[in-house]
Amino acid sequence: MTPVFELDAVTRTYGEQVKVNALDGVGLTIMPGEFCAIVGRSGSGKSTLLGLLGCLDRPTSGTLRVNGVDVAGLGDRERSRLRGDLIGFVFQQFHLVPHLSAAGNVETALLYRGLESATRRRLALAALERVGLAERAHHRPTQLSGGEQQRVALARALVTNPRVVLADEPTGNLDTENAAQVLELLESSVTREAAVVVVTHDPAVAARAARRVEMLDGRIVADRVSHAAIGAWVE
Amino acid sequence: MRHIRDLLGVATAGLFARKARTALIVAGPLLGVAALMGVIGLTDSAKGDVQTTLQSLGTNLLVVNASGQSQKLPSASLDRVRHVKTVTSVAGATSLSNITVSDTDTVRSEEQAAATQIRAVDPSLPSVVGARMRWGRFLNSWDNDSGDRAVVIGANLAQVYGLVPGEVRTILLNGRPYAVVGVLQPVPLLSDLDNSVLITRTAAVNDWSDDGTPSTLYVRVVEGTTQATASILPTAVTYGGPGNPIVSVPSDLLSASAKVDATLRNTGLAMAALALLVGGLGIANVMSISVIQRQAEIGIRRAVGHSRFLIGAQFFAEALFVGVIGGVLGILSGAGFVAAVALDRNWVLVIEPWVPAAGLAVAVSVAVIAGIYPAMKAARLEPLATLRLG
Repeated sequence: MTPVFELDAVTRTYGEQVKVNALDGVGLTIMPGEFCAIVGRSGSGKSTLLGLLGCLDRPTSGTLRVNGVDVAGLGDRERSRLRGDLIGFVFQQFHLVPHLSAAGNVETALLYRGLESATRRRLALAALERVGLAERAHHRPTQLSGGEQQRVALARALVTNPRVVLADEPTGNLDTENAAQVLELLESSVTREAAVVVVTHDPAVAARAARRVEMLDGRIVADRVSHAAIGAWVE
Repeated sequence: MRHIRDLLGVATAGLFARKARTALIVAGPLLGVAALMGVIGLTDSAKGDVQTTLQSLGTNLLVVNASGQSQKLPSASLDRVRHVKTVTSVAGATSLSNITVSDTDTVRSEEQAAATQIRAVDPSLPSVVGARMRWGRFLNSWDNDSGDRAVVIGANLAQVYGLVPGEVRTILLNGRPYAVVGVLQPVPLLSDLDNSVLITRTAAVNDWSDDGTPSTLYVRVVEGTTQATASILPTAVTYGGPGNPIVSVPSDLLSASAKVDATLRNTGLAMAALALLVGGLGIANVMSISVIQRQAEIGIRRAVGHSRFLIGAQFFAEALFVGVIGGVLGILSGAGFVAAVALDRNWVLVIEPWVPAAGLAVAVSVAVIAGIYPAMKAARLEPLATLRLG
């Protein structure tokens, strides 16, 4: 099976005069079906890593393969296509477009694919159904609670049937109850073909993941898989 | 491109979501185009009645006058001109001098007598020059053949004489009584006819010892051949013989007066251009701010797979829409304004089709140029920065 992500000695450097290695020789492979948490303090490089995984950025050196494709040689159009086809994003701030309804927001992920608007609408409603918001489809983001907004964002991420959902502190702005609901939905998005990668500070979120990658100063310092059966983390 | 429909949907949704802002930036091209339409429409309509007159009269009437000592054209000139291919009809006339006209028994004062022209004309004159009768009839071929003493009087002269429609009146030409059989309406292109007393050419020969040759030819030619015919008519008249007839186009003067005041129009157009320029700057300014305010939207659209090009295209399409909406509304309000003024002043409404077309083109161009910068700015935004990951 093709790995969703394959990183080999990936480095990402910022700055012109003073170079800062946000990522320093990272190697990581994530397979479909994994629920992986990336944890670490602020400045540990986990956001940079997420940007690279999401093809929103390119490595300074090293190779990054997404679904077997080396992104180094891709132009903006190809990377955008890769993003649209393979990756779904969920952000801490939800990032819904304020002037669009819930369904309209979900539909943005289906634009420019040659779909009829009726098809788009049908797929969007199905995705909202999946996150339990079918009856809120025509509400604007301002009319929805934080938890509902994040579920709309999740529906937007899932509507394209991506190979991986990248979630950035998905529960950071939510109360416990809503957080649990969103986490449950994220968990249920893990299938045999699709992985979920969560970047988080929150130990409770990390605890839900089957795999935990810890970062410090741009490097991976620990990569453990939980064996639910024995209730312990192993290297 | 099949993405265009999606793009239009996204752009219109973006514009309609911010109605007040959209209305404000639409106002720029709207006012500019309305001003453009207003200036051209008003200056055109102000001359519209003259232009309409010109159109109804036609610009294909020529007048040939004899020059030199004799003040006469060759006797055969009428037939010669009639045989020119581009000539559709022709009427001859002779100016008679040294005849004093008096209205009934009263001898008119010297000045008024001098202003009165006596002309001997062909019965075909009205049809050639497009003259109409106010009342009565024109001189006909029976009058001409018999040489009877009938006259038709020009509009101004009829007013001076105080002629009442249908009145039986006799006027005296050097004491000889002539019966008034009709009065002409004013002839717009040939105002000298308005002050003329017209008699038949036979009467001129019989009563006034005229030699029967014309001094003036009125020539109607095929539309569009006016200039060409005018240039060959002197030769056609003289056949290379003596005399140098002068050909004039009476509608030329009227055409000149129908010309629109260029200075006024240019000043107005400069102001309209300024309005459009300011409108364009407004679009560029507001949309640039909009790009900053919508960073998160741009970021998320990039994240769900829209390329830089499509993001740029989205903002470009919004600007294009502003131009189209502003242009169309500007055309409508400009046309409405011109129509209202024309109605108020009793002008003939003139809006040439190229004016709204040009207005729309200008509005769209302004918006497109104004949209380039915000579109490029939107396309260049780094999604990673706008989404503030982590």
